[in-house]
Amino acid sequence: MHCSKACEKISAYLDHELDSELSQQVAHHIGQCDDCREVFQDFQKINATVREWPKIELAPDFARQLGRMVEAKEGQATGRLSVPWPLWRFVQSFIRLLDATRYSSAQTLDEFNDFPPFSMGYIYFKLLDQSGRG
Amino acid sequence: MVVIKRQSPAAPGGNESASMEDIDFNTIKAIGRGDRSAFELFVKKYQNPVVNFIFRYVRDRFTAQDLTQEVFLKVFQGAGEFEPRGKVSNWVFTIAFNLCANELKRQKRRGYPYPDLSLGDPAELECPAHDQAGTRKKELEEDLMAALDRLPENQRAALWLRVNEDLSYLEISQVLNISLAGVESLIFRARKQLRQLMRGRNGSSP
Repeated sequence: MHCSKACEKISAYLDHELDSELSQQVAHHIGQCDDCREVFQDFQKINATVREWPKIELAPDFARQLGRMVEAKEGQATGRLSVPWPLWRFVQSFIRLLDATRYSSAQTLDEFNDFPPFSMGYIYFKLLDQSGRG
Repeated sequence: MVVIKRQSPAAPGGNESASMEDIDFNTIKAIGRGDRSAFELFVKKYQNPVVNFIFRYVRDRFTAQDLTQEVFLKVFQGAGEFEPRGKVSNWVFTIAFNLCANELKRQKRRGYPYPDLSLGDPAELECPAHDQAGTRKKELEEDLMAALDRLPENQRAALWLRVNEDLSYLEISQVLNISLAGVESLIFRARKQLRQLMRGRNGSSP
């Protein structure tokens, strides 16, 4: 193996990333060649320096703060669910009833309008029917 | 041509590593179900590797802290749809890397407030005082640290992930979204540049 090729592979050799055949060739070359052995040793020193790269640390309660943040976000996203579910379903149904003009069934309300003439029920159904057809 | 075949230097640790991955998968599943305590445990486990990886990439402490927070919020949001195609840690580092890359693009568009730290002539980094061997060694270490910070972002990220997080080239290629040959080249060039600096310093010593 030539020095130029070996030199290119020394980094991957150091990282145990070569297949066994190439790894053996590089190891053999490093054993024979002073220059390449020097490269290998320098790369090892560089690794040691990289491990000593100054590190920063987050606040000890970072995880807890983030947990609270996530909980708050979840609460905002699903805020409507804080109302008990059966009550929410009832309110939803009631709103839909009041807004009945949106639904196609509102177009044939006459059959349900058996209230006495000019009673509140009669007027309500009449209005609904008119707006549904309009 | 790059010949890559990971040879595990610590075979007995293989099972341990696998079980750690299982724990991570289970934790992610729990987070996906909205388990806050699982989320906090997960954050505690990965907060320092993630913040330091980001810090090495963006070189700004406060940006690193903000991005770390963002990484874990994305983990929480994405945990429900997480598919175990690789290690959980790789997924987390991928999120971190993507956020870092976006942040740097944003900073560059705005005029890049960080100083230009491209690696220059090693001689420029030399200090006049080389009287004692101890001082020289310390200075060399400091210069190497400075030179590490001056490496291009991708080289720094690849070298950090390899040396400090013990990721394989394959895993790094997934995190950085580049080829295996690209990873090998990045790490080799990073070491070569640092070595040039080291040799320049040693050569200039009396």
